Amino acid sequence: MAKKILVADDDPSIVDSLTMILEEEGYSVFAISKNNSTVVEVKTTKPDLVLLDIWIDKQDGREICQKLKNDGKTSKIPIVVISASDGAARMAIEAGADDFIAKPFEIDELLTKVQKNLS
Amino acid sequence: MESSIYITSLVFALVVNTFLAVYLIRTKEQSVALLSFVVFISLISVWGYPQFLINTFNIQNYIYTYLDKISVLGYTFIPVAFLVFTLAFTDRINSLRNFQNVLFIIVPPIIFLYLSWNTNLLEYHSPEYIVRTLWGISSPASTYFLVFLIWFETVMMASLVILIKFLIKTHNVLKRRQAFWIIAATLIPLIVGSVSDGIMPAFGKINFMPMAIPLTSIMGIIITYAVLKHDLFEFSPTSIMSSIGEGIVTIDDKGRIIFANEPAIKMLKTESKNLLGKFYHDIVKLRTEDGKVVKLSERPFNKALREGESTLGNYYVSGKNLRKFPVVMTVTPLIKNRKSIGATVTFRDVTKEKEIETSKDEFISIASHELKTPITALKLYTSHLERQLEKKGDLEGASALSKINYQTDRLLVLVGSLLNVSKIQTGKYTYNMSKFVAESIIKDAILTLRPITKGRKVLVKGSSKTVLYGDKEKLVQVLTNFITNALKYSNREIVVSIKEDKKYVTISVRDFGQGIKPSEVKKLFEKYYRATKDTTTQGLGIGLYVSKEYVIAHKGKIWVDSKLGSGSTFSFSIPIS
Repeated sequence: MAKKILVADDDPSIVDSLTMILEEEGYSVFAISKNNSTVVEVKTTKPDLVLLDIWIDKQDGREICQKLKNDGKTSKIPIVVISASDGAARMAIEAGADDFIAKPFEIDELLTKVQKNLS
Repeated sequence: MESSIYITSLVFALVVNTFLAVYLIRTKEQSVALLSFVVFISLISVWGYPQFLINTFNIQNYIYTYLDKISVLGYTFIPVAFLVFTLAFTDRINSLRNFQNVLFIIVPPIIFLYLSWNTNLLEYHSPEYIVRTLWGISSPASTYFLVFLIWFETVMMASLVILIKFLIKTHNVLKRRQAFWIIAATLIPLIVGSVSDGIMPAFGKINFMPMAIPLTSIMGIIITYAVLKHDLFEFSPTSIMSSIGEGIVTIDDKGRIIFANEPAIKMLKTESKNLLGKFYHDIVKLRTEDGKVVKLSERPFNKALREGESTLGNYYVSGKNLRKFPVVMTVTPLIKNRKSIGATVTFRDVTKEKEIETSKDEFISIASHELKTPITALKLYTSHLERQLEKKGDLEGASALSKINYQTDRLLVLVGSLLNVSKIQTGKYTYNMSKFVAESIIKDAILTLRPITKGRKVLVKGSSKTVLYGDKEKLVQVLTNFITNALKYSNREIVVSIKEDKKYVTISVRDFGQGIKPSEVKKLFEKYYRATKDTTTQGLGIGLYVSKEYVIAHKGKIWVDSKLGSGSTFSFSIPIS
């Protein structure tokens, strides 16, 4: 059974390209472009991993991490944060995210981190 | 006969004086010098016209008393007006802030006026009686009047001395010419007057015709000539300073404001009377650009006063009822006899410039963020496609995509460095501090640059296992910048070396390129600076600027040694904590 990954990003082009790459690797991907529905979406789809893109100045990423990690139903789902800013990444890790990928990244790096956090 | 000559000259002088006063007040720019001068020549008329009436119509009745009183009023205040004029003209008006000086100028004429109007102590106050007394010829002249006359002459002479000193010292050609004419106008009546009214009686010629009035009027006429011919009241420093768009405040050695021009008064949202004589540091508060209040001892004006040092800087000015605004401020000491006797503060409101700068930084920040997202997506698509083609065995397609990928990476680096500049500018930069081995900076940098250094020789010399504390990623970026530059500006091998002493670990990159002109070395670390006339190499001119900021944040040093024709060595050193 293919592992389920939820990809959340503001930008449709990132969501689309990530979906393409991950599906190619045999994952089953759910994509959402609106952060505010991320928590609900995670609860309904119960993915094996969440790939969360957060913006530098937005608190949403941190809030989402906190909500997911504080909820018993979702707290065990690994969250990998993608961000262009170091500061945002640290904030996310502090809020409970499991790993972090800095933009721009190579496909190999992405896949390695995904695999690592799934196992 | 003599009487008619006297009256004619008197009338002539008075008419000229009256016209001059009207002319000056109507057509010339208002200033203390001008106004006091107009008062001076008007007082001559106030003195002269009653005398003229009394002498012409031989007035004897009660009207005489009134006319005489008016005449005395004019006469009494002539030296005051002339001294004020002299001080204003020679830019010494501030000496009137001294209370004793003011007393000396104002009290004697008031007492004299009071006595002459209300008592008969001064009944015989005509100069001929005084002169008689002076030369030992008995007369009933009043001692009070004698004292007054000495005061009168002292003030006039003092004015003259001030003017002569000014004439000798000033470098202002226009003012020197004006001073010359004023002195000429004052000296001639003074000499002629003292001979005719003061010395002649000593030889028995007591029944002289008092020359003082026509002579004083001649003085007015000569000054009129100077006004018309040499623009006596044009281009006064005060009016020039008011017309300058920058705020100018001059303070004395105690830090009190002695001058503020119109733009300064406007910018400080106050009135002249709220500034003059007040302590400058009470009125104008300074903050540095990062919002810290500048301590009194650190204030530029204090440095100017104590050390005679000029400063130029960016500050925020605030004060009572004053919203803070950004300024560029220059403070220059006023030096006299090698001592600071005050300072001049020049400042310009740069709110608009700041706004433009901030919006520019914000624009760069937003733009580079917005750019980063599509480029990242682009990179993901092309990488994905490259892998697909590789799997299918389409090596030609994969190679083309790899090149697209490489260019995408370059774009990302450029956008990244723009973002770094904007972060530094807006103070949004965060440093992720950690401990790491010094030489790992070199390893990481070379690893990052592998695609670029392909086919080029990069030698590494030395090693350092010392543990440093800092943001490793940023320091790797500094070294990456150095190496990228070295590769860009030279075709030969480059040498990366690392060494340490007790205090610092130093990493250098040596190239064997064309070298840098000494005149350009200083500018290298400025924002957006690129070597002049260099249009062939790429870059935005921000790599070294960002590097400098990073190294400074680590309390380190960054520098370049270069020799034209034989290459450059870029170095940075980080303190061992």
